[in-house]
Amino acid sequence: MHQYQFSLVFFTVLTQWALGSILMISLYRAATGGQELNNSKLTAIALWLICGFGSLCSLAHLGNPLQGYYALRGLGSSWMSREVIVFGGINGLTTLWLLTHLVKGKENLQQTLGLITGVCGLAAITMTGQIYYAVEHQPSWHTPLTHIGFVSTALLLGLATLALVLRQSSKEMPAGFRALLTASVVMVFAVTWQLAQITGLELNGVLVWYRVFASLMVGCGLLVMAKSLNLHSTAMVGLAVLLMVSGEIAGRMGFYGSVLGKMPW
Amino acid sequence: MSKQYGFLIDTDGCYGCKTCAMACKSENNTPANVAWRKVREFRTESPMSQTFITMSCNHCDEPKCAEVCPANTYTKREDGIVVQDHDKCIGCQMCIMACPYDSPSYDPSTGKTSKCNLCVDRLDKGLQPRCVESCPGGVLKFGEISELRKQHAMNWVELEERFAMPDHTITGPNIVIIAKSL
Repeated sequence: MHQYQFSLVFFTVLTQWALGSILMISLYRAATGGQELNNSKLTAIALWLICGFGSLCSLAHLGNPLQGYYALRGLGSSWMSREVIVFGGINGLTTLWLLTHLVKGKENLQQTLGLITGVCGLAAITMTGQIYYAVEHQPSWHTPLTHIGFVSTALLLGLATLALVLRQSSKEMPAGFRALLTASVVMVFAVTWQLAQITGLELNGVLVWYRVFASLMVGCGLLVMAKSLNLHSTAMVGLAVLLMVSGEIAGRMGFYGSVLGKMPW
Repeated sequence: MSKQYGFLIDTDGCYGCKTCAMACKSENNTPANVAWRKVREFRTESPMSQTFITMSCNHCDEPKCAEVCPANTYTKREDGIVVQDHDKCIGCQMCIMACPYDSPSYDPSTGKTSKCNLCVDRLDKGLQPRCVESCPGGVLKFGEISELRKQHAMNWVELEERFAMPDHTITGPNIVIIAKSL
């Protein structure tokens, strides 16, 4: 078995990025009385594509993707079966959310559907965590850190994307969302720190440090410091978002590698 | 369940010839990169020791493979043997991740996972599993686990610490391992 399982890395990180972003953008609009944001159609298409591509990556993990429908046979006991159903529903919701941006006269549904999609997305992300939590003999998976880690990735990348969307619209991030960003940074750091206590740094130390460097130090640093450094351009914030995505990808590689890289048992 | 089959592994007599693993491959015609039975070597420096542990599927009381398989391919039979409906396997490898003993084996050429079925066809003919029959040292035994456990009382705590084995209470493996105390 490959140590890093790239198809699962991209499935989890990309869907968490997209769903976190939909939640944060919808929350922002709800909190600000439905303020319009620039390029909202383009943003919705991009997030839909990220979520869809991420979900397709999960199929790439299967040895026999054409027989993927068999994955519904284990609903009674398998969290992975349940995840298949739930992510089917999530992709349906993101498609409806996208349509509210593309079909005239349906704009009034954007916030409600966005919030429903985001909240259901967080539940689906938690369910994905349960798949790995169920592997009881692996201490780095059989811990609530798995669920918290997945959710914190969604919050961190969602807030970073919101920062980019706001930058495009020449708006500032409200104080409440800045506090949420700080909380998500603390969550990601705490999860990374605690997982390193369980697994050590011998196996995936480089990935752990890259996550801290890219997601938290440079990525978030750019988001927060951009204005004072006079680097407050859309390109710079976009670069910060991409750095943070790469950091989360490295962190997820470490998550899988911590277990799959240390056979024999 | 009417009975439960299992293996007894006497590591004190095992010299790591891997005949059991090769016999398994030969009997089940598994591909080159698939091993249903593996022989693992453990060494300690102080005190100096070398131990071989041969292991395939332990046909656990609560098999994790069956719990996590999204395609519901694993079934525990009345005689305790955990069998897989290979045709329904979608190759997600979740069973490999979930099995504490790394028993299922993935074949990239077919995109499917498979594992030891305790040579059910041979058992039906009154024969022993091929690995047991082939063992030149006679250190691998097969039978009803209740009978095998009468032959040796295992100290799981010591074994798990010595060989970094997973906690046996997670799945309840049906094996007896004999290993000299250090």
